[in-house]
Amino acid sequence: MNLSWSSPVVAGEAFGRRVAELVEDLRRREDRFALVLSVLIGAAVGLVIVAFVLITGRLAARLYPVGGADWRRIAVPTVGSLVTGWLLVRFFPEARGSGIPQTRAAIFVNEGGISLRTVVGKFVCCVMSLSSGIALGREGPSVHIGAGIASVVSRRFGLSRAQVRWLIPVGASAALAAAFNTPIAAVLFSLEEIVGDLHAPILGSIVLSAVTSWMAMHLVLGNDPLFHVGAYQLVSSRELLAYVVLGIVGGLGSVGFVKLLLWLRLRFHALPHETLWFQPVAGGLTVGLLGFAVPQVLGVGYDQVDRVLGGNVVLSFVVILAVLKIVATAVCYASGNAGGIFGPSMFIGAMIGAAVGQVAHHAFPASTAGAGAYALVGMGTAFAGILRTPLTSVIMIFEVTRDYTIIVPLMTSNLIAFYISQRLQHEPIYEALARQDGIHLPTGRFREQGRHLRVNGAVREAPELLPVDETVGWALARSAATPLESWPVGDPVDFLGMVRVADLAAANPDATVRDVLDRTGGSTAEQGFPHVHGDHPLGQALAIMGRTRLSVLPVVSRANVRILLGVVTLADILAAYGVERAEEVPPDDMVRDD
Amino acid sequence: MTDPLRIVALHAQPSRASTFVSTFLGLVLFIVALFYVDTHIVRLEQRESLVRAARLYADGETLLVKGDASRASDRFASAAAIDRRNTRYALALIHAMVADGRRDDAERELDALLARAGNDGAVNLAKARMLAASDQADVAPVYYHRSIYGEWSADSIRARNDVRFELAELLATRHDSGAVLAELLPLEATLPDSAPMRRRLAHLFLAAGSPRRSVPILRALLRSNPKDADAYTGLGEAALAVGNFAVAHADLSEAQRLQPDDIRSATQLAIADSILVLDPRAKGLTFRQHAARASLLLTMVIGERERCAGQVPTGEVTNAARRLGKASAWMSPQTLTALAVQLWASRTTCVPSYVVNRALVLLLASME
Repeated sequence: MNLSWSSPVVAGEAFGRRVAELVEDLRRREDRFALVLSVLIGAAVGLVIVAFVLITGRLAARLYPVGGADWRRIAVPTVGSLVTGWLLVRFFPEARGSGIPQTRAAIFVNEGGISLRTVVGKFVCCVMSLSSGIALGREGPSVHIGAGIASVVSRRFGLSRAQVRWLIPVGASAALAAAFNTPIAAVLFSLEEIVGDLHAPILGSIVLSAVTSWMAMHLVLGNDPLFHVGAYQLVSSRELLAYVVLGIVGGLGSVGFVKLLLWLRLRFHALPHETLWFQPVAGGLTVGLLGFAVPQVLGVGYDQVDRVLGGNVVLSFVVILAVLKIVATAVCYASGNAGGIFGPSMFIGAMIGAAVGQVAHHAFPASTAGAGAYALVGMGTAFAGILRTPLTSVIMIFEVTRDYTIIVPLMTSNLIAFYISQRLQHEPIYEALARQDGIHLPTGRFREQGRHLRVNGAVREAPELLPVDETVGWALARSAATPLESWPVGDPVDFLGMVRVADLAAANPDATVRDVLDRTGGSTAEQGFPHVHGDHPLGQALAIMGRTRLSVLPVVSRANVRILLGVVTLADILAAYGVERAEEVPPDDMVRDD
Repeated sequence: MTDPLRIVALHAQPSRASTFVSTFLGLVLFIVALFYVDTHIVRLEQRESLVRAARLYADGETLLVKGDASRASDRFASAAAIDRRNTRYALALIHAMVADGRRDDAERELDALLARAGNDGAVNLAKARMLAASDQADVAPVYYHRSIYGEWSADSIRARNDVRFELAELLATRHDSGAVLAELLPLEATLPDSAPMRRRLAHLFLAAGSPRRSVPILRALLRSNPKDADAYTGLGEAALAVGNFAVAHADLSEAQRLQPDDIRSATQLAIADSILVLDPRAKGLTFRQHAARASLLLTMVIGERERCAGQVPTGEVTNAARRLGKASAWMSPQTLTALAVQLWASRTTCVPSYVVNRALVLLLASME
């Protein structure tokens, strides 16, 4: 045993070297570091969003003190929008609007780039705007702020562009988890709306950041839920009819809101560019005048939603609130105020739901629940209708209530609203908003087209199998009749693999086809011969062709890969993509390999 | 937004190790600092909110005292919305809603409160009271028990004793003597040395048909205050209940002397007087007096039976009573008394004429 003592200086140097090695290792392995960074981003974003919510609330309490004069309801939003309008034009031009289209643009257009100035601008402008009573929500801006923090931090760490891009939804989900207190819905929203792919490979990072952010938020704010909801109850199965009506009304209301907002925004865009800084005042003044008459129109209105969820409903009042909120939010957003439509969607949905529920309960008191239950489902309905994220909306309301019985009515009305919205307003709101800004984001339809291009759409009937125990000479003679280079091989029972004519030609004519198949690896059961299934994307078939140098792939059953269902050729795939017409060849003829 | 030069500018070259470490440490420091800032704001916010809620609650109480239950409800609702953990505000809101005639809203609010504070003693007590005042009084004891075994923020023993008293009094009004006694026995063990509470307990023991348990408590009250008219009344009632009519008369007379306006002691004294005049077993009676009292007793029993027969048909027993009454002149006082007791034992319950019936009940119960 070496009993010599190393000096503290030497030990310190060794420790320093070890730390440097660890840092270097972490830097080199970006994928691992991204996971660590997801946790840090989650915590940072969660705490920033908590600060955002708290500061907004405190400022609003000072701008609208209890017992304050009525004129404040006109003056405060007007002045607030004037100040934020100037700030947005002068210092933070990229902080306008909701933040969700901007976040998506950062991923698909800017390679993950969101500047620190934009983050700060979004924070400052939204605090001023929302606390002054502008009828917009805090969730969209939170998403933008969260994504911006992720972008700034990851770029500061010198991560690759691809990693920076993937960390944007990580920041977005963390922000939504903290802003709306629904971590699962935040994860789904990031995948469904921000990334546009529920199977994105960053699921782990998104979940990590959402959970961390949610925990940070709970650590600071405690366990108080955003909405206080009583036990939900589906009184009878006949009540589902009322939820169908809610789906229809909610869908129509959603379409009306989206169309009004987009139309107004186009009108504001048509105004001279010099008026840009002044345009938000239109929103501030509108919401001020409406708020002077009905104070509940001011701000995001979660207090009012809470009251309605508690069953405190007067039919005429909730109908008026729904209409006024649609107008106020549309004008505020279209005129360029900073704030989102996530929260107002919830508000509008809750009011529509409460109105439908009140009518239903009045007509059929014994077989329907109170208006509060409908308000809750209405929130999800409007969310599905306006934002077109039906899965997120179901999970979000489920997370708010933590009540399984709400799922069926919620899905019923959500899907109806979603369908109506899809039929009457083809372009989803965030895509339409981005298009108005001249940004062409990947649309849902585009993604759907990609998903529909599957092997099944290009498959053709399989040719006769080459018997595996025949000689190579016989097989060559058989294949000489047609210009084939790849043939399926089988025994009387099973399909065994594909063999290339070139490999047969190079083999001993007295050898069997099985010998050639074994030698070329075409039938090695353990490794699996090259094949595709009918539901595989065509892109995957192309990738296999590239890897195996086969221009013909067998399409086999998922239940038994030894059952040959057909073949797919390179020419057929190209034709399916519209690149090249398939050659007019008989079904049992094969295309030669390149 | 789409300017490629800006995009390139945003993406810096991979950082050096020192930048990497400093960024990492900077981020951690940022998180820690932010946590403290947030926590500070939250504390500030909570403090202000609690003060605001307390002000609204005080406003609401003032309005409720003035009889403006509607505006009081608004104040309490705002206070409860700000400080949701404070069940006092929510209970005040429910109370104001009931006072405002919004009983359905109050019930809904109370059920919601119960859902989130199901183990709270005060909330369960409110539910019990609401049920006791409704047509679901049978369910009320369940919530009284939840309240007794629930959580109380301050002076839980006193609060639990009060609830148990309230439950015992409710049960006493339903003449459920066994259930009343079941509540009083644990109460006796935990009751502090408080004269009003001891008095309350003694009276409830009397109501529960357990007069012997009330006597030592009432005697203790008299020791501390010999001019306690209420204790004398209680002792008189206890003596009446155990058949010690002379003692009862003396105690009740003393109670009347100390508090001549007290109706309760006056009524009980009248009962004691009736019994003493009626009792055929009294010492020092001549045969004639004995026979007269026995005959009167039998007549009263028959009269009571006939009165009850008017309300409730009793068939053969009433007819037999009439026959016996006619033959009474030929019977001895002992036989007459025995007959009266026998006839009383087979009576059917009917609405009593209080004093006479009570005197008969007590007297004949002491003979059985």
